[in-house]
Amino acid sequence: MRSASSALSRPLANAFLAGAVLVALLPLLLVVINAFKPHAAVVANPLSLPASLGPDNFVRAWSGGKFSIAIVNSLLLSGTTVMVTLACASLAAFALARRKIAGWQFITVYFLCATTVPIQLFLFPLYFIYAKLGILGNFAGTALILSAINLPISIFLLRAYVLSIPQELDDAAFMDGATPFQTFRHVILPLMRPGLITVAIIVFLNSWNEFLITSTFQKGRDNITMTLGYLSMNGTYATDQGALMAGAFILIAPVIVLFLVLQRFFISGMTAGAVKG
Amino acid sequence: MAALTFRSVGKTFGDTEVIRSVDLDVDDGEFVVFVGPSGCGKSTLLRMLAGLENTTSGTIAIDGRDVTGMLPIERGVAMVFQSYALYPHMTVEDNIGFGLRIAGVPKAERQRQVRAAAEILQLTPYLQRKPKALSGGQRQRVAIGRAIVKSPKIFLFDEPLSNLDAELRVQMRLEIAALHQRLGATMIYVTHDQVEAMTLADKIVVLRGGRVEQVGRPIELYEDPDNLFVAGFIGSPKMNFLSATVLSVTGKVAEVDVPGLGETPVFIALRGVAAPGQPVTLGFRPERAAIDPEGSIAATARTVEQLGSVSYVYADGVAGASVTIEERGHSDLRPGEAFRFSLDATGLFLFDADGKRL
Amino acid sequence: MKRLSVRTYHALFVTPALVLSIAIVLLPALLTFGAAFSNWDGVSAPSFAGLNNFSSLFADPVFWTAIANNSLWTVIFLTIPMGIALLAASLLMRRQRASAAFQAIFLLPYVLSPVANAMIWQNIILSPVSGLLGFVSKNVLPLQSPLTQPETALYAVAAVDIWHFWGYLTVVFFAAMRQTPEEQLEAALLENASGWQVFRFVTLPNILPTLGLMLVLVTIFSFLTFDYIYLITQGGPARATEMLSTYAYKFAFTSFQVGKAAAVALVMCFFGLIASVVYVRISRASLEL
Repeated sequence: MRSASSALSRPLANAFLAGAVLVALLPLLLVVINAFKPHAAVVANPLSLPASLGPDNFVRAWSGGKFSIAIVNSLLLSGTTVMVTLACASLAAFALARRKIAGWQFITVYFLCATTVPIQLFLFPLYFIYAKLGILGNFAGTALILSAINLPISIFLLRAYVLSIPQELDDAAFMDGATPFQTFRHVILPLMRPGLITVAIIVFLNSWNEFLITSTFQKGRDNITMTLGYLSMNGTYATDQGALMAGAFILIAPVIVLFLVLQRFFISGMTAGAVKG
Repeated sequence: MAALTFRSVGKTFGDTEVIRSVDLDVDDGEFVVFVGPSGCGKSTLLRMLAGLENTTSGTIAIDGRDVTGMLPIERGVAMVFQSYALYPHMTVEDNIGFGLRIAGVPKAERQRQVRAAAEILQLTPYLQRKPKALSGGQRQRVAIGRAIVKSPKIFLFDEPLSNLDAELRVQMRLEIAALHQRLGATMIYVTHDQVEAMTLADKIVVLRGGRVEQVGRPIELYEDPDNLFVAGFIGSPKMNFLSATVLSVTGKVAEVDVPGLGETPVFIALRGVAAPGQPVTLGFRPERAAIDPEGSIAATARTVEQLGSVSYVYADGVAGASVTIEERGHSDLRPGEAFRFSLDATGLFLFDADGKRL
Repeated sequence: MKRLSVRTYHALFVTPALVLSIAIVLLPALLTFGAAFSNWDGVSAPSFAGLNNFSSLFADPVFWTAIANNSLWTVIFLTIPMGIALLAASLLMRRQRASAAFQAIFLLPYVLSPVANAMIWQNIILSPVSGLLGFVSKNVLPLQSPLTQPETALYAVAAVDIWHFWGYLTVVFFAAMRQTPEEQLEAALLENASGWQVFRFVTLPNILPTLGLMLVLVTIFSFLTFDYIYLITQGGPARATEMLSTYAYKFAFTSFQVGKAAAVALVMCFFGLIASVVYVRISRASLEL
């Protein structure tokens, strides 16, 4: 009975998965093939393969998206966000996992609530505070916001790693004369390295891709990020679809490579909060 | 001068008293074992001595110096943990040398001391390995090496053998004893295993409910327990206990009626005072009873354990009493077989209703 | 020199994170509460407005359109991506060796930025001039761009967002399904259970906590959804895709009615809060608080 039904369902299942793969990849494949085609060829048939693999579209896209400025800003913004988040979250994760401070329960619940707090709940006053302080467009200021948003989830990810490190190691380090900071630096931090890598990747991608905060706070020509630079091409390059697709290619190719290389960390971090294991 | 003294040392967690007024003197070079059932406070007391737990009341002094509020490194103690607590990301060399590194000892000097410690423990070939690549016994030695390299006044061991299998446990027990002889340092050792306590200790401290029940040499505790708890905790198989009533007291000898041993009264030398009519507990160790066809006491064998050199006969006496008897060599008794036995009058103990030795 | 106590150290460790979060999130959030009851343009001094912001919102039909749109969005996201992801994840369970490759492919859209995804769909798929849709329209059968029609715009944007999001759910569900004890699956197979029966009686009960959590999170995020709407339609055409988030954003940064924006934000959070309370209750147990 079983073999009969599975003989029937197996092709259906394969068809579904194949369809899912096609749906996931088709728009990205269209980006790749049209990034090398002139506008007329795109309009004529977006499915046709490019006649040649010239870099013309990429050159126009690079200047059109102001990517020379944007890539520096994006790296500064995302890099700073990762550093600030890792520093704050790893220390807090250690303290919260060890439960030595009064009120650790209260602080843990606070960060738990913060994991789902909507950006809109603090966005508007924060914008006008930043405006008043004159730090709109300042990548460090924006990085602090992105760090604050990424903090709670990072803390809980890293906290799970600290919990897997036996308390006796802290005791041993204490017996060895280490201060709690030395314990953190020499024992805890090296042992949560896979967690740090996971958090770094997730936070980096989050801030590289982020739209609401970045578009609101990184105002001004000199402050644009990769995504904002590309977005600025939207209207003006409607008649140069080849360049638009080349821009998309420039934007997504590094992310895809990064993701494929480090997907193990990425997937473990993404599913950690949602799946008990 | 005592190497270590506890004076009315106490600790409370919230409202719970976990250590109650402990007084103890340890001589220089002594091997002292804290023993007791789980939850008796032995590990807590050790951690208080280490400086890992704070002390609520009383004072702890090492070499006459009050160390009660001090950090572990200031106390001159080193600890071997139950799980070894080796740093998994460091090599054996770095594990042993971590304390020296924190203390700012220059690298060359550090290396010299680590190698000296490794030499003692035969760890030299493994210095560049990570703990994961070591056997249980080797990890144990690294943990000890980490303590040795600090040249502490006192070594602390927190159930160091409980993670090892039976064979390795015996071997490491011997190694620790040899190490103690070699270093001549004061060692405090916590275990729940009374065999470890008996074999290793110069002095045993029996703890129960955060209180010291008795302190003494292993043989003293075995042959002259202060109370029912110590009598029952030390020795394997356990001492036999039978309820009894004092019939009369003549000088330092009590005549006791023990229903479980039949109608013949038993005479016991007293250490303290007993009164006629007093309900008491009679205790005797399994080897103080002998199977004897002429014996005055009747029993029926329930189970017979043959260990080769000795046999243990678990038997039902009269009036629902249960006794264990040790027989040298092989036992001919079969389960269900009736037999008679006699008691060695010099191996009997009497305890009052509160468990205090009479 | 007296060394700091262990507690002091640990308190110092948690301080940077706490200060950052309080400064960026908590204090401005409290200001949002204040602003919701004020007239404020973001620059000059605010004045107390009582419930005026709320009453003018409730009188605004656009507000109710946005509520309806957010609700529809929630229903769509609680069903379609959930169903696709559950199906895809359970099919991956039978293909353990290929599952890593499938997961990577399914996740690709999720790791790309909304800006890139939105522009790709707008230009190369849904554009009537340069997109796949235009190509089909010119050569096979005439189609109108769904983004320009009020009846279809919301579904079209939702389709783009689902395309971006469903892979995440699939990977999460797959990870949860993998935790199903092997013996349970084997026992079910020994009893000749069909694929559906295995799912219904073995897999589903095991992933129920994860499923519940995802339902809660999807509900929260559906009431906050912003990126794809703002990037693709900005709430149009004719308010057909207006959401509470875009509605609030326009108040704050187009007409500088920050008080009203704050009031909308509070309404959004109210929906999120209901789901959050459930979420915290679920998580509390697993965090051993």
